[in-house]
Amino acid sequence: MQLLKQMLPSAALAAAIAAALLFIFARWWKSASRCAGAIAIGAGYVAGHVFAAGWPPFPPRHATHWLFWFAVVGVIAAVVAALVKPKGTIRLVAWAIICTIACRLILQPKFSYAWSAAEGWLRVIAVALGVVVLTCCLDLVERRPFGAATLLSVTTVLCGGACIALIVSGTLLLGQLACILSAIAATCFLLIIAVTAPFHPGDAAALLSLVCAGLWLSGFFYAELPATSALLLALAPAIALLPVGKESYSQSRVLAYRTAFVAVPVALAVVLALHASPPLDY
Amino acid sequence: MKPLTLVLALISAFVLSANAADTFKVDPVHSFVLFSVQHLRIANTYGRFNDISGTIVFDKDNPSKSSVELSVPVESLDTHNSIRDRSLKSPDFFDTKQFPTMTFKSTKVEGSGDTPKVSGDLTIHGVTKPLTVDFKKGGEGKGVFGEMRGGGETRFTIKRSDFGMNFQQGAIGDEVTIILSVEGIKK
Repeated sequence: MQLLKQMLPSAALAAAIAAALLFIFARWWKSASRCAGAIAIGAGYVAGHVFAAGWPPFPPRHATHWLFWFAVVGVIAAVVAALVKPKGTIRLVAWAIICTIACRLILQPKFSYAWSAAEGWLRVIAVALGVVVLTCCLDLVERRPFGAATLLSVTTVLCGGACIALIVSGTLLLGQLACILSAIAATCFLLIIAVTAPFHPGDAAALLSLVCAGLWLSGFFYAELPATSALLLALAPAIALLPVGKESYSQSRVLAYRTAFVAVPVALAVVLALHASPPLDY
Repeated sequence: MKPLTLVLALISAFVLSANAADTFKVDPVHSFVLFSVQHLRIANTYGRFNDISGTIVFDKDNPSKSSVELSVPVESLDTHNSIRDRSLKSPDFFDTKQFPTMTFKSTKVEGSGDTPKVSGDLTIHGVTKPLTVDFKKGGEGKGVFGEMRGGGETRFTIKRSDFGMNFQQGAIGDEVTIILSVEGIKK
């Protein structure tokens, strides 16, 4: 009960803000639809983060603070992409640079205490490439028919699983931040399903992948999230791209299948994290 | 003249050594960093750090020339429960992988020889704050190997929020009482 009491208010606040913004954009500010999803999800996450962990200083003092700024960067990137409409290659290269900088910043303590510069940069580049691939996967999911709903349902499952895996890995704070993302995605998903208005989480893939990657990196490098769990969580969205059954299947059926496919590695990641955690000594 | 020179040299050496400050290396086996914090406003939870290192320079005649430098690896935190330890070491609280050590470095020592007031900079979780404590000097004596030992103890309270550890305020108290009992071996 104490755990729910702690987690629910921030998740509820974040979800309410994201849903309200998405609704406002869809009803009264349709011209912003290309980045409406990113703004709504980003604003919701920022509010939830501040509620759960306090206002982060700038420059951030530790990795968790960076997650807040990653959400801000994700929103800015989405707005810029919507306004400038850059070519695919330029967009990809720019995003790869942003991801590399983000990974370098969040892994700064490892450079201070554990890694040499060369080793650290190799790891940063590898991780940044992984984040770019994750973004591409989520972006592809989003571009498919019924993609917005699929992206949000996949994110709900992914972040819900990450929440449990992070909590059993010893960090309630990171778990709470993952819960915030999961609640936002679930609420926006319900909004898309329930209301026929053209809700579109345009460019939310970049923001979601950056914040999710930040959570998993923090969980793995600064808490006790097992490497296999972190990898499974990172690879799970790619499974949503697998072909699903016959073409005659309804969109909702395809969505359910894709979400269920993603849930398999996510559940495995949770089980592995649970297995690696010490026994409850009560 | 030669015996007189020798006597003078011995006397001056004795006087110099008597006036010089004593330097003690902290003995981690006989030094303790204990802490207590309120849990759910019900009772206190106690923990300790099992490792500590540092140097204490103590000048009985001129305490202002004394100094303290202590370092505690946060990874040595122990609350007799592995799940709680993991949580305390995680980014929720001490964030040991990003901030592996807590340090105290004195900037001023004043007061009488046996109860000096030690002021300095306490660094926890990457945040440095000034701290003044009343250090109660213990005894001095020889250890089992003939080494000279000295030590003492201090108790003080800090607010964890001052050091950027804000998570779970309410469920876990903000004020943390710390007991530092330190024994050093004279160099």
